[in-house]
Amino acid sequence: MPLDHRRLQGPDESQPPALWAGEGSGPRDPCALRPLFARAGLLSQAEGSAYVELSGGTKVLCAAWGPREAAEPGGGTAGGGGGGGGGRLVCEFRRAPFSSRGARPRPGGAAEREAEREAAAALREALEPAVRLARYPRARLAVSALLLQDGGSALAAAVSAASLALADAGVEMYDLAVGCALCRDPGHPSGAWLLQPGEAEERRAAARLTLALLPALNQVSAVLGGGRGGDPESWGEALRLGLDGCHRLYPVLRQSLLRAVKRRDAAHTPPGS
Amino acid sequence: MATAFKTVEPLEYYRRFLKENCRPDGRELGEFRATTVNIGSITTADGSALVKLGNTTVICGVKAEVAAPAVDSANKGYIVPNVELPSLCSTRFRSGPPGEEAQAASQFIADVIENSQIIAKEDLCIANGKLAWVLYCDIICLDYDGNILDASVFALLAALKNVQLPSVTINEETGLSEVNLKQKNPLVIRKHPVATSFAIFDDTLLIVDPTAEEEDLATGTVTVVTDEEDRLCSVHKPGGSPLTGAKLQDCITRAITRHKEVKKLIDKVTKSIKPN
Amino acid sequence: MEPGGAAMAAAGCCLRPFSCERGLLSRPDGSAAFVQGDTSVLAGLYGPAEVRGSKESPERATLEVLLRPKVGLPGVGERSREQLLRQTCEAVVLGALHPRTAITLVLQVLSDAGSLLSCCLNAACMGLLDAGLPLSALFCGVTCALDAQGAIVLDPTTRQEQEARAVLTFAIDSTEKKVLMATTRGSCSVEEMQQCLVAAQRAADTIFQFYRDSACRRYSKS
Repeated sequence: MPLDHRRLQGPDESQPPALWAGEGSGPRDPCALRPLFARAGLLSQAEGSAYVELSGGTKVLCAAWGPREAAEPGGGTAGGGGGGGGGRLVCEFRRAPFSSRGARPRPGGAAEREAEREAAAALREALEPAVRLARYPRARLAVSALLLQDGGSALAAAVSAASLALADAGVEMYDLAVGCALCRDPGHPSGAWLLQPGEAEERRAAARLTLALLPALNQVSAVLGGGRGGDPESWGEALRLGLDGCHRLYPVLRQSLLRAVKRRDAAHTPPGS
Repeated sequence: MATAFKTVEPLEYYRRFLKENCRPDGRELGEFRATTVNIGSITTADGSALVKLGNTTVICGVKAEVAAPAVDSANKGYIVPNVELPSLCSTRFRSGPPGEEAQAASQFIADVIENSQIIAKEDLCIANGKLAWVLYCDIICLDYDGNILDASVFALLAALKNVQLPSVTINEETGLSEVNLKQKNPLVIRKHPVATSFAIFDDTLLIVDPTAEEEDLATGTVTVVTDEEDRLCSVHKPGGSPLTGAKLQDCITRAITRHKEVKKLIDKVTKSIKPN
Repeated sequence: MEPGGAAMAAAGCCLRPFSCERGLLSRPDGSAAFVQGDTSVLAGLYGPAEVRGSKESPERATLEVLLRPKVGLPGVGERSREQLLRQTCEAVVLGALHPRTAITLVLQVLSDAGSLLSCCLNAACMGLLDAGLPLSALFCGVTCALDAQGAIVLDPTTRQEQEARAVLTFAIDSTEKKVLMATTRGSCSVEEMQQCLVAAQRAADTIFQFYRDSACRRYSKS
């Protein structure tokens, strides 16, 4: 493994103490949507920020910055996204080294960077339809997500957090993109899909699916998934379940955004005026 | 009007406040920002702590793994700190591998760990020459508003106090390691180093706990790390305006006072999570 | 333990023999090789030169320091030392006289036998002098080691550094003998640090005298 000169190194190889103390969580209602905690506007240095926590333990922090000068001048030709003269959305997804149960991935390793790049591309795919890029020609909007703890459904939480952060930054959007994850347990012979799987369930799953929906417009912005899911009806069932979950999560996100705006308003208006 | 003046002449704007012995956010020159600490929030890590120093937010996660000890120190484990300043904490940092400031901070934390002997590396040894613990301490800044070194040292200390290591024994006959997850022991923390940072203005004034704006306008910084026996673990003055020995002594005295405040805070938090 | 008088008298002139050679490289605008005992560092200075867009500062010159170890690629420790050196040099170089330019200082470690950081500091100062950059003061680096009995050893060798309880490095400026840079390894008490500082300031006198003699010698020949 090539030596990373920009970080302090420990020993060449280390293993985690054996710890698959899999808490086989008992059978649960596959359609139960566990509570989600969302809060916007908590970082001082970013223009918009959001923190989403799922009850499985997934914690995602996301920051967004409004229109900036684009790095390259070429806005209309091959410079990705939007076509025409629209703006560009640049996404970044990072996992903290302590976020996963099990071995600590070497930050900066090739596998790690590859996974982060894929997740960032998925994030961008999910967010682009929601943002009015045409309003920001030749500009760059940046979104940066950090996964602090992975308790399952990390990408879905990141999508929700990122759209909250963009909205908090004041970027014009058509709608919030809400993310929802499903997985199919190989143990269940009926092949039921579980909504918002925990980390252990996701690991054991035979097939996984992540959806991003724009609820008010009822349009799906991204579908990512794969595995042995069974016949097409089963996938259709999963999609319906996921879309339903997204619709149910939407009010929570809207509430948190409203609260953040009220807080910001109260902070800026001097009392008594 | 004031904001316009601040944008055009930030240094003059700041000097007006300093003349009245206070700062734009209302603090005295020797006053710290509100410090809060939250322990054990990341359950996938063996120990974690989130520290907020005003707006500056730093999270430290400790993961413990096992490895063979180095050949020349067969009875010592490893502690590997790494400070990350991701692009989400501030616009001044780009995404990608750690930049100069992150690397310098990592080296500083490694030096503090080494100098203060916060954990004796011999305590991390499981079997001499065969197996030892490796503690990966990853410190990530979530919000950069100055004084990153103080917050990082505090987060590291709080996270290490929170670490529970499963007991590992080596089976004599088979030579394999056996891990008992039910029985967990906390780490033995020998010393409690606390860092205090100062910014130097106009070669003369010393300001405690600078924010990011103050750090940009300052002509130098000093960081003093003390432990509970009032010994100096580190004096870190990376260039900047020169200081006399007397001024340095003032910094150290202030750092010793700060140590007591921080120690009280850590003790309070540790006690509050004890009945687990 | 008697850290007082006896240690002071012994520490008086316990610096290893040092020497300096200036202007030995033809390409850089200034160069110097500083040798302290068996530790030697070569410094090359380029500047004021053109600066790349993003690093340009409209008010002052941008200083960049590159420290290359003797073997291997520069790692995190070198980055940290580069930051120390850069900010020390920034404090003395009158950057406001050369806005929108870049000054690059490259240090190559030729051999390391203890007190490496102070040797780098001295080499950097001599390099700055050789390049003719405007400086507000000169500076020199002094390393002190506190051994197990608490006696102060100036300019320690590698062996003395490893056996010492604490190693402190100071950069002292020439005008008022104030501390420009301080960094410590190991732990010590506050009084011990102050004593080391006083010893370092006294040793700095010897080094500044050497700078003066070296400059006299150089310019009297040509």
